[in-house]
Amino acid sequence: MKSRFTQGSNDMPNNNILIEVKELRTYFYLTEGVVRAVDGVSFSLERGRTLGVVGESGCGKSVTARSIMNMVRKPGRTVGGEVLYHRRNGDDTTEEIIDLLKLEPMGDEMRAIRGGEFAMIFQEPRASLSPVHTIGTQIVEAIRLHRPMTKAQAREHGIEMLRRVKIPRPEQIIDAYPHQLSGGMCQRAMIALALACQPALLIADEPTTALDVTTEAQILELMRELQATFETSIMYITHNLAVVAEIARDVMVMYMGKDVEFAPVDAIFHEPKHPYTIALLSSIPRIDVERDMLATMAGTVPDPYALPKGCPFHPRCPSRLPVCSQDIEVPYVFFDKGHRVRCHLYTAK
Amino acid sequence: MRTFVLKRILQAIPILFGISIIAFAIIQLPPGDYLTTYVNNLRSQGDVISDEQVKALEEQYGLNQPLYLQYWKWITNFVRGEMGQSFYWNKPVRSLIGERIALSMLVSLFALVLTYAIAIPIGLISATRQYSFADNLFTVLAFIGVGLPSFLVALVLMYFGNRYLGLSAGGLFSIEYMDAPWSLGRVLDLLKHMILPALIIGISGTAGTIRVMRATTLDELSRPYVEAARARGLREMVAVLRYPVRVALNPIMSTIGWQLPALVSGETLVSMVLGLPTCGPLLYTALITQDMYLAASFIMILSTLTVAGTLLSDILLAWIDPRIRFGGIQ
Amino acid sequence: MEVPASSPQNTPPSAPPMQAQEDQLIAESGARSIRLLSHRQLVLMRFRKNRLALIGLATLILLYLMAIFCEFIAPYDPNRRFQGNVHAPPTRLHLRTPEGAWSMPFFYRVERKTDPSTFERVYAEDTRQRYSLRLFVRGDPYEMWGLIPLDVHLFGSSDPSVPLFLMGADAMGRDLLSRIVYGSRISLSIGLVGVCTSLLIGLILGGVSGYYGGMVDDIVQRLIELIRSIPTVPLWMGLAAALPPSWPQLRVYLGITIILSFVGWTTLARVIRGKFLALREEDYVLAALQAGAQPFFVIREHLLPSFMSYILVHLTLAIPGMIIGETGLSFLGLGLVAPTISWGVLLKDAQKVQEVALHPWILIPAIFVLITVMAFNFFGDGLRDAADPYSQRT
Repeated sequence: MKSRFTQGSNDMPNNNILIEVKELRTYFYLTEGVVRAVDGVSFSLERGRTLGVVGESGCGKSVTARSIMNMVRKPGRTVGGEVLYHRRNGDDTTEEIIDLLKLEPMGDEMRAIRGGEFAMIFQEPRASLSPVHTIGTQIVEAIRLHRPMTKAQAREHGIEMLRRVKIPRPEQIIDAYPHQLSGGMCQRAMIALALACQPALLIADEPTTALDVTTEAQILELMRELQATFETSIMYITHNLAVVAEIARDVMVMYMGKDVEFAPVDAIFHEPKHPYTIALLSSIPRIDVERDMLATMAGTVPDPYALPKGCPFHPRCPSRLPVCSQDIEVPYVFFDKGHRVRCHLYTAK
Repeated sequence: MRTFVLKRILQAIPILFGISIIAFAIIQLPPGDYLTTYVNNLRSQGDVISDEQVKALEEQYGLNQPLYLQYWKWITNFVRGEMGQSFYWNKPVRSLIGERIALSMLVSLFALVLTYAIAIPIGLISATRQYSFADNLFTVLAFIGVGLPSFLVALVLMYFGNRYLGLSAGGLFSIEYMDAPWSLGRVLDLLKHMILPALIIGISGTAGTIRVMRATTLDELSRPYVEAARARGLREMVAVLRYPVRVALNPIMSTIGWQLPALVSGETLVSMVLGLPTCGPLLYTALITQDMYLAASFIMILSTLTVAGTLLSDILLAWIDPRIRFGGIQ
Repeated sequence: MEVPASSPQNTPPSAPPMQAQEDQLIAESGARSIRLLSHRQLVLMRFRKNRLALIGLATLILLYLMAIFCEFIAPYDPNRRFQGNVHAPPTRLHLRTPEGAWSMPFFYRVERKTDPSTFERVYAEDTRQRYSLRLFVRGDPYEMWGLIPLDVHLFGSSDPSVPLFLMGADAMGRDLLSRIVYGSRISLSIGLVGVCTSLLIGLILGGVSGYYGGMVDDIVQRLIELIRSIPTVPLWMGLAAALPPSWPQLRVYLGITIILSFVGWTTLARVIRGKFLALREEDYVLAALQAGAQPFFVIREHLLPSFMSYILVHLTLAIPGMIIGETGLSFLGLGLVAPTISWGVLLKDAQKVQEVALHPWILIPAIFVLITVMAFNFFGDGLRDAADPYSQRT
């Protein structure tokens, strides 16, 4: 069962996997053409670990997340690949493997997983809550959808969850409307809502991008704490490398729908392999290196309707080879500690 | 909430005052006073009226007093329910207009209900099945319907009904119920007769509401909270109906305020074409015969009821949308 | 595993000059041409794409041409009564002779008979003699725009003694088409005049309201609320009934326009005020003022362009309401009255269903009203979409 994309050291069998994504492809069929938002992405995530997914806007991070939740909306469609969910029963004795993409997107089985076992929080916390319902209504509804509880029990549980995310006066806040709360409070409420059913996976799609830095730090701290208590795996999507450094164990770097590099967090920051990762890192200020000017990446993100042939990064790549512009799939190159990269530079050797 | 209601009621008072001034102005506008017209009418019919009688009438209506006193007399009487005498029908205005106002409002409200009952589901279907055949069809129909003048539609429909269905369309009651006392049968008969007029009156409102409903629902469907609801495992129908539709309904509800005057307005014209026993035809006769107390009372009462309807819809909206209730921001 | 060591610290920024890089990028990404369009070009481009709006515009141009040249286009004097042609039905134009040959459009004299058994009126064509439809025939004399005496009409019957009623005749034997064509002059112009009056009042009160704010704004807003809360038709009827019947035609016409604008200005004033308030706060307006631009310059360069398109759209969409208003009032006999000819006055004949059932062609003016109203709506809607070229309306 173990694939080459399974992270962790290569010589130890790993049975702690939660989800495995293989060759995922999600395309958008628009009148202007086909956008290959996710074009062959593979990775796996272990239980209780955090995976950071980084890349520029439009690189397919969010679409990957929605594909895992099997909730890509038209005109988008998941056209290939597998999302294998290693589901355990309550006492961790048996494990079944489900390909989520084979499930009916709005069917009962998929909806039971969505929200019950996989939860998601979003970029704009206030906009992600219904403006005309109280926090309580939404949290009670979510809990009762997945757990056999009465309204009163669900409400009690909801208040408890709000307390767990450190919302002051949860008994009152539960009856508040989103517009009465600050952005940070809304995101806490969203987290409470997401974790209310103790999901195995929490997908966080840029949850702190819309918040100020102090609030961001608090939310990150909270997520780390909660992960320790609930043993939830987190897939953390962001374009902020500093956040990744703080929260993630592994990092996947994406560019134009491709997973260009995957590595433990230390390896990404200290031994980046892919020229794109290197360029990305050199564009953030560092205090340990003296520099006059921040490096900027040459060129701009290509037109999504007309992606460059071969490696999508080659027009901007400072170290491109002739092979890079050839119309062939760039192969994976594997290093130790689960570090892998998709770049011709390393196949040549 | 209570302060909000109180505030809105206080705001309505100057409006009602303004309306009363306009209604009174309409009494005063025609050249010569209506008493002269009335007396001339009576005399032309051969009645003998002495100058003393004319004087007495002048006294009764305060015509020899300054305008503001006349107004004061009229409005205080009006509030007490004394709406003066209809010169043309020679009956108290109150006895003439009671049932007609009620029927007018009933038809208008029925049109309002029909408008929403038709437009909201259609707008919703259009939005959730964007660019489907049904959506395109409804979009075109709504586009055409939004500017159609209802009385012309009534005219054309009357012709076709008469020509091809042999309907002697018009009226609100069948002959056997025309002057019958109220009974269940009469109510059902009334409802049956009300559907067509209400549909005609509601055409442009329905078309407009379909467009608004479609646009706002589309707007709301793309909002993050809908996706968040889906990510929580809600059924598609629930995710759409419970969340965005609730929000999309708000602008619809807030337009009741101006739907109502438009409906009452449309009803006035359509009722004349279709010969409904509502305000329209009587108001028309009153204006033609310069029966100004009757006319002004109609305008005053119709406007007052419209203001009251708007007020109610505002309160309803605040009750539905917490953002307004708490004076919060969007 | 040996790999070429490259870390952020030692990657030389070996990028070629920016411009070359970008050119290359464009070339590689499929060479999509990029062109900058001015606001006006964008508006035009978007408007041209909207087929319904174009149809609306074309229809309106035709209708207004008809109104402008009504004396020439109408085949007859609208007040001429044709003896023995009371309620004559629309004349049928034939394109094929009884022998089956194609021909220029021609028609027959119509005779009215009464069916001896059912007593229904029947109209029979007298096929012995053909009359043709001729272009540019001489007929009833008229004065173009009241100035140039002429007697040429766009089309007419080849025989002056056998009239051609393309849309039938009315209860006095007058040609309905001619009356409709003449009626368009009043019905179509009343919308324009009414809207201009509304715009004038709306601009003044809306502008004052938006400019001064505070008390003035409050008063104007309450006034608007007041007028809008009265059902329009009863109000119009009340005001129209107050016009003295002794007034001459022109004064009644103006009176009706003012009555229509009495309600119409409120919408425009709201739009103008809202736009004014919104624009005053716009960053680009503040930026222009900060940069030292004169207020007049800001108004001309920034406010007016974004303002005008909105006003234009609202004007276009307000016209049909006015046209319907005039039609409705005249239809009731409260607005314009004969001998003035407008579509509403013509429709007054159609008040009774029995009349319409016998002579359905008297409803034709209604079709003209509907077409005009729809053309305005299509055109206005297209204009609204086009005026905001950056919007992504679905």
